Amino acid sequence: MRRLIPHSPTRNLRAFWIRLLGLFGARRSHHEIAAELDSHLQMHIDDNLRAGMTQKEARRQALIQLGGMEQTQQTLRERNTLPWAETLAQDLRFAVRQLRKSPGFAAVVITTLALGIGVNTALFSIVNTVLLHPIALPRPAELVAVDASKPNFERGSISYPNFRDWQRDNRSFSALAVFRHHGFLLTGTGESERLHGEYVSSSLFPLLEVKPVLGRLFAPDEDEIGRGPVVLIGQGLWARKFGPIPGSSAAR
Amino acid sequence: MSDKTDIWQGTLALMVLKTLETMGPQHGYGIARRIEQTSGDRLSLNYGTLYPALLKLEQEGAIASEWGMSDNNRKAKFYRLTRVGRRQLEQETRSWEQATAIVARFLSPAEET
Repeated sequence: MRRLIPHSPTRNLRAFWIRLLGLFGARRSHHEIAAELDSHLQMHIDDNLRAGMTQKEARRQALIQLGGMEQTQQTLRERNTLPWAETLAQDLRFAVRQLRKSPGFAAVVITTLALGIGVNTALFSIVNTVLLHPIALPRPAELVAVDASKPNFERGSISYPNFRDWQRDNRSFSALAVFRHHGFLLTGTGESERLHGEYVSSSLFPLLEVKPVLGRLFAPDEDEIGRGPVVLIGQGLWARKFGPIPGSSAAR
Repeated sequence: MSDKTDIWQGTLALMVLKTLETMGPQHGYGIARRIEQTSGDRLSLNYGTLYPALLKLEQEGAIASEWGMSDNNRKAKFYRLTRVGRRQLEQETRSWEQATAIVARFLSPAEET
């Protein structure tokens, strides 16, 4: 039968704030607590005397029924504020005083902390991106880069016709794709702009399991030699050049 | 003292509020004696637990306190019920009655109702 009567959260919140304010002086003073218990004790002793007890016995009985003066005061003081917060505030004030006393030591401590925190943050961001959040692609462990080894270039690039041969004869990989970086100049949409792009084989996006926001990916035969150019653009470029669109990305 | 019942947790606040409602402003000692008398001296109240309960009620806004003079000319802190406290009393009385009614149903000889 601990809690048949529910406690309202607003009341608890109010009490919490008052106890928190108690940390900053807006509280019953220890003196007031002692005075109230004192007056209680006196009234009880008066009653006990009237009931015929000796002065000593009257006082003893009153104290017993109060459950001890010191214990009761302690319970009240704890309820008065938030004891853990009070201890915390004391510790903080003490720490600040100590640091003020020896500025040199304080500087060393602060520098050590700053360096420690900085290094930790830097390391964590590396671990976070490399280990905890690897590239957002399906099965990154199965993804490999293939190069053409030539006499002067251990990791050389490969020509498109050679790639087509590789792709045709491939027995080792589930899919092959090729890409080459290229700069483009975009004109006719206001100020001309230099863009970075890639020539890619039509197999690239299916391999990486990339889906277009709008429109379609390259069709399998669109990378045949002699076919007209088809382009897929990113959301950022579309928004910048063609204004806001439903979803945005991918256009001819 | 062994035949006296200890006060169940959570009910002390209700008793305090009810006492203040019937008696008007009263000091801690008076509240304690009144609770004992009302119970027909069957409750043993540890006075030391009353004061934290009073402080809690005051922090929750159910009661307010003020220093004054007792009947015997002792300085004492008097507590009175606030509007919030009156509402709380009504509400807790209702839930208490509900709770006891439920328990009573369990304990009463089985009857089809």
